[in-house]
Amino acid sequence: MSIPLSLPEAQRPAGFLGRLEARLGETGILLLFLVPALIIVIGAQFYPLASSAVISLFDWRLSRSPTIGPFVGLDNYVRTFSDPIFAGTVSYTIIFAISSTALQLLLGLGIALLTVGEGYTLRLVRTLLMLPMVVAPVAVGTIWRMILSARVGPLNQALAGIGIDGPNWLGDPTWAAFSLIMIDAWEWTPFVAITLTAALTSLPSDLIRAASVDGAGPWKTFRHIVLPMLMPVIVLVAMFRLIEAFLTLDIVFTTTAGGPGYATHTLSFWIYQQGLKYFNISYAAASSWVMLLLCVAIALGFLAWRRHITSWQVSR
Amino acid sequence: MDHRTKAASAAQTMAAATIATLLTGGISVAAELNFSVMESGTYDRAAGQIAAEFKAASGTDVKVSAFPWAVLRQNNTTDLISGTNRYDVMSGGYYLSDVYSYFSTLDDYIARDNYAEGMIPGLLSPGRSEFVSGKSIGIPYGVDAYGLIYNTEMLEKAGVSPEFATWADLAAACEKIVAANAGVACFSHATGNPEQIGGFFFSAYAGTYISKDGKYALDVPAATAAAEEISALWKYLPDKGTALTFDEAHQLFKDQKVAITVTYPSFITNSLDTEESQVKGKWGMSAFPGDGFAWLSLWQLFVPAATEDKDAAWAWIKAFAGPENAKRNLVEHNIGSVWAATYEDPELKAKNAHFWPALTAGFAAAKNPPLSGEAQDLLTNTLQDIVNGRTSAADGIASVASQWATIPVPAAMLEAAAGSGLQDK
Repeated sequence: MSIPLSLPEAQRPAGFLGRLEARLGETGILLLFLVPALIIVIGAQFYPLASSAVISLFDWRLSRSPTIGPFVGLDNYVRTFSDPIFAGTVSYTIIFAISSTALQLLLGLGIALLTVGEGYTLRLVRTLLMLPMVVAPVAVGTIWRMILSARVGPLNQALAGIGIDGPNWLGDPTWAAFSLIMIDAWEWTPFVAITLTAALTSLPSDLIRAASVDGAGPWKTFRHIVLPMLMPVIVLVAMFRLIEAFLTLDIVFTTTAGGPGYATHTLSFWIYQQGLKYFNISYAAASSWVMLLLCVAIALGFLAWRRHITSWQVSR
Repeated sequence: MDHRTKAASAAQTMAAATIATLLTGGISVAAELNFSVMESGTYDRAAGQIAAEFKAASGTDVKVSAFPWAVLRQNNTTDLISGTNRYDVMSGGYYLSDVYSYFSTLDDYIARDNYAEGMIPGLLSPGRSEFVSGKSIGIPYGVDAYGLIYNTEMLEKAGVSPEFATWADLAAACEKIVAANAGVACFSHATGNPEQIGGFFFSAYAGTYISKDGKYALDVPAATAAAEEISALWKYLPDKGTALTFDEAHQLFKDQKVAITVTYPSFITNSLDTEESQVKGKWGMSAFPGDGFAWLSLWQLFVPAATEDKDAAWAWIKAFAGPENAKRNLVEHNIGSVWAATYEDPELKAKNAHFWPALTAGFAAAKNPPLSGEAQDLLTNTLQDIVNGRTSAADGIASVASQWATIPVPAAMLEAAAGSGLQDK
């Protein structure tokens, strides 16, 4: 049975709305109601995007002139792809984002499994675990920079206490790259843990009990029941975290400033420098579009994967 | 009362008297001025001190906004480009070259008050202080030049003379220093500040930075050799010494864990002769190595074109940067005076005899590279990659040379390069 979308004429509202509906029709009036929201969405989201796309086709260095420079077509994009520093930046960003997200998922899932359930202690543990997430990222970077100071930082001093010669965390390019991954994971693992705890709580307990009755041990239950049911949430969390990791700027700025050299330049840091330090507005806009397209590709990939998992689960 | 307090007290009285004199000359002043300065515990403190006296004498309230160097640079630039016009007087240096066009020229004020008289010769000239189309836009108030500060005992023990013609000479001496002084590293430096490695390059590289046709360009073989020299020297840093802050690098020298520290002298010299200092009476300063130039640090005051009351801004500049407060700023805050008379003060001259000759010789020879912020960051980040083994000297310098070709040279930098002989002829 189909549901009628419009009211019978006798039941239509009287007065102004009634006259309006009679004049515009149902679709027309729906569109009319959508207009304010559309204006906000277009103004707040599409206009800046379109504007940056246009700017990326011109040569505009704000330090030279307050007005936009000559049209250069795709030159800024060509420069982006032929710039060896940009290539290094993209490659570190990918390594950073994937490693950090993978670490967060592993640790977050582990913590979620350990802390799921009721009771005062578990609730307290979950609350305490949220703390890194609520500290301002700039403060996180500053605190970690002090902790990781190779010569006087508390971490290396603690390691020395147990006979380990701690690494040159922020002075060695490889360790600096790893340090940022570690800091990001420290900050955002709680988000993953809390989300997965909520997902675990909402799983149908009868299925898990049935598996147990059928003789499945904890590992088999996790592997064949819990994990598949969690996958749609895991994929969604992974997508959020991966995109967020691509956008990381604050901890890079405060901890390593992209160094040593170019070792920890992320895409966001690069774009920040081009746009707001050197005022190469057009080049920064082109780089931003490259990053946006990367993020959209990631999001589409993850959403397709999630659809695939969900439809597979429904079919079973 | 010790000498320092006496000097400070005399200077304070003079400062207040000078400010009062300046203001009775009929200069109209605004009720409020906003001033941006570096948060260093020196420049900002001096500014706060002088601002209080300035207010008492003139009624003008100078609001001092202090920021760490990188934030100050960003805030000043953004303030000008965005047209926010928050600051009436700004502190900065040659790295503001991208925004020179936003500043007022100050030639009329300089000429009217004969302001340059008594300044260290050459400081108020292109390539050292800042100019646009031949007109001065920056008034110097704090001078420093990279220096090499050494522990006399350690060098004597190693049989090393503290004069190094090149960084390779220093590297050779480092072998002896480390061998003769157990548990001591050769030198420390603020390696964690990525731009500071430029100090080594500018002194090691004797070539030019801008081509005849006005493009950024390097003499690639000479620049590669300089980068290799720095890379070889980096081996003599302390263990895990590649991300040191200025404070950490200085502390290593004060704790006698390194024999030499390469730094801006004004950051450290006043703490080396205190009663608590372990190196009191056993340190000196030598000429900066290399055939290039020691990196000049010349803090200047700029007046944005948008500043409404330029007379008030100029009155503040004279109060803060003028010769009257120079001695107090040096004694109390270790701000390098730009006035020649300060270095002729018999009391100060005697007290600082162990390093002033090298320091003042450094001022005379030091320069700024004619590089915009973007060009300089590209060079120094790449040098960091070279010394950390992420790329070879040859590849790194070739990459800088090719990318510099895409970075426009600000017009003011061409003037500066011509003035300091750093453009190809």
